[in-house]
Amino acid sequence: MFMNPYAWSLVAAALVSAALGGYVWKHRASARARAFPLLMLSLSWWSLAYGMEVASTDPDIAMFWAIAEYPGIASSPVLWLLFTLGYAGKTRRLSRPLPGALFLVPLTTVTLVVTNPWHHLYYRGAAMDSSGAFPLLALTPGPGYWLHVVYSYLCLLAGTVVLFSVWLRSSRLYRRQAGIMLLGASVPFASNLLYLAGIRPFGHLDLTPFAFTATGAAVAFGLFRYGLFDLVPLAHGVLLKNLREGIAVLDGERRVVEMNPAARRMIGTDGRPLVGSWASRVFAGHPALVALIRDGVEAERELELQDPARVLEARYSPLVGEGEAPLGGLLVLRDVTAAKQAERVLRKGHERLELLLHALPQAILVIDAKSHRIVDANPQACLLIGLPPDRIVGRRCHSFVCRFREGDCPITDAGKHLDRSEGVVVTAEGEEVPVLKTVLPIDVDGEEWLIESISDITELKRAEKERVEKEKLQALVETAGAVCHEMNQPLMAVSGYGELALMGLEADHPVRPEVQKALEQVERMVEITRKLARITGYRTKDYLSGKILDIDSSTRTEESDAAF
Amino acid sequence: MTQTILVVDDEAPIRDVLEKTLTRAGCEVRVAASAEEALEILRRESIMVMLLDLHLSGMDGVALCERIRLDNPVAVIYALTGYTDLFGLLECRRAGFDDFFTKPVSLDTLREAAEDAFEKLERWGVAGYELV
Repeated sequence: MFMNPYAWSLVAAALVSAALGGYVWKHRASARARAFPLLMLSLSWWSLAYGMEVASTDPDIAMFWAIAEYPGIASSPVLWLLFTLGYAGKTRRLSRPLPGALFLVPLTTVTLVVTNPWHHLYYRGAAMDSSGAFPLLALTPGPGYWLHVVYSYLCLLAGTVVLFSVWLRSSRLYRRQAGIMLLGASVPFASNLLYLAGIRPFGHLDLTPFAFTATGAAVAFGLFRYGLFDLVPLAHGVLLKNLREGIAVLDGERRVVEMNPAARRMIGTDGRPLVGSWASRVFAGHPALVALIRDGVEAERELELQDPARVLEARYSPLVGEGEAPLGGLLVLRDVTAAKQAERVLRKGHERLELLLHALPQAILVIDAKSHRIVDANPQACLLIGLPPDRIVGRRCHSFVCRFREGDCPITDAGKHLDRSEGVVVTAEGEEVPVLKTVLPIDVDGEEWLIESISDITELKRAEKERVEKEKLQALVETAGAVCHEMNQPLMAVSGYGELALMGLEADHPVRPEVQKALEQVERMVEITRKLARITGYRTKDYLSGKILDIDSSTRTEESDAAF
Repeated sequence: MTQTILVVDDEAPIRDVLEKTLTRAGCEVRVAASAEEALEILRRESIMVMLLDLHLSGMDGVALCERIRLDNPVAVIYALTGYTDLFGLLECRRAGFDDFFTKPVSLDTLREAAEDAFEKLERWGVAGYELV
């Protein structure tokens, strides 16, 4: 045994790898990082065993360590691949037997190495090379060795491609993480390629374990600097899986890149392979969604689905990169069935109230008690006022319906609970329509409103006026009848006696002219009673400070008499 | 032939004026102040021309006319009233009055009406009715 500096370096690398593996094992936040501590353990063993090999001066002991390091050598590339797949969140998509199958070649390699003395398929020969500063085991590779090398590089390459794909689709923060890891991954490649190309500054000393230690350090940097294992797998998987909203991520070609279980459930595509399919095919059953995605602009649609009946709200947001080039789109689906149902019930209730308000035969105004502004007017109110609703709503109630001025409202100022009074509505033409109003204050969600019910009483008023007129006329006609009857009796007697007197007087009797004059006056009175007998209206004329019946204008004419 | 005329009016001055006027015109005038009095006269005497005031105390002129018409559809009966209207005229015609005069009416008009009535009766050849 000779612990040369190379041996010490390898032991140090082994310790670093072990420490890194142990730390991540202890702090790992996601099952997806499970391969990393194993990878570090494997590297640690490889470095340690290689250190022992390098320190051995006896070919047999050196050979022992060369064989002992193989579980680490053979398994590291596979563990690297599994780690990168885990980091990219793709292990879920690997079927269970696959990770096991990946270890078939490393197992074969280890078996071949252990059984090499019997078949020399792995090493054709081994000898101690003492040309360097310290003796090294020089091995001549056989076909088994090349199988291991090719397989190892395939695994390393595949892992690197996975990392590269993560780097491509990541945002700035995760791109840095992936970049650091890519950089770390390139070190073993570079050193191994140099070794295989025969550029060996330290002779037969393999630098790969050192390189892998550098990779581990790069990953560790990512770990400390960006919380590599905490954030990415957790955010990506757990968030999407647990989101109640359906999420579908599309690439620039409108292919589905990601789709969470909620989205699959909502559009009913359970079981079908979706990722990588065209959106038009995935959402073929929902043309509205296809159109939304095809438009490619920030937009929202509502979808009504049958069996079971439900309503989805779909929102599409285009995803643009730094250069504003469209990278794809994000489709968010929300099940709004319950909300829509509640909204429908509410709307129906509202419509019922609206219908009721509009079907009422009375004019109704709804007034905000604070501002005294009209907030609603039913069709009857609009008809009465003679304006469309938009020219009534917003105006103050004093403008149309209230004889009370501002600050004099019987409800809000005088504190009455109900006001029932006769008043007038001022129409759009300025005409005053007599109305009967009932004002009732009500509380709606903390806001005080006045419900004003208005009945047009024009016809009532007219009928009332006509009734009064008719009664007046009736009384007048009856009075006139009585006057005629009572007056005509003495008039008949007076005129009769007058005529009899004239009959008995000589033609030149001096009294005759006076009797005739008296009879003329009687005739005048007769004319007055005749007019009274023909009264058909009630019209008055001024007399001193009052009014008296205008007999002439209230009397039926002779012409109209002829009609009887 | 004696031209007898019955005048019914509850106003004494009117009865007086009419009696004088018609007497001067050559008629035999019987006067009554009420319907009952008039019916009594008609029971005692055959009279075919009558001048009835519509407004009487007790049975009024319309009812009196209707009553008279039950026994005597031919008699010429005139209505005399202080006041009436179209409905009053219709009622009078329905009750069986032949003509209708509103007070105050000129004495000449009444005289002519009486003459006209007697002329009619003469033309019809009806002088009176038998008393029971």
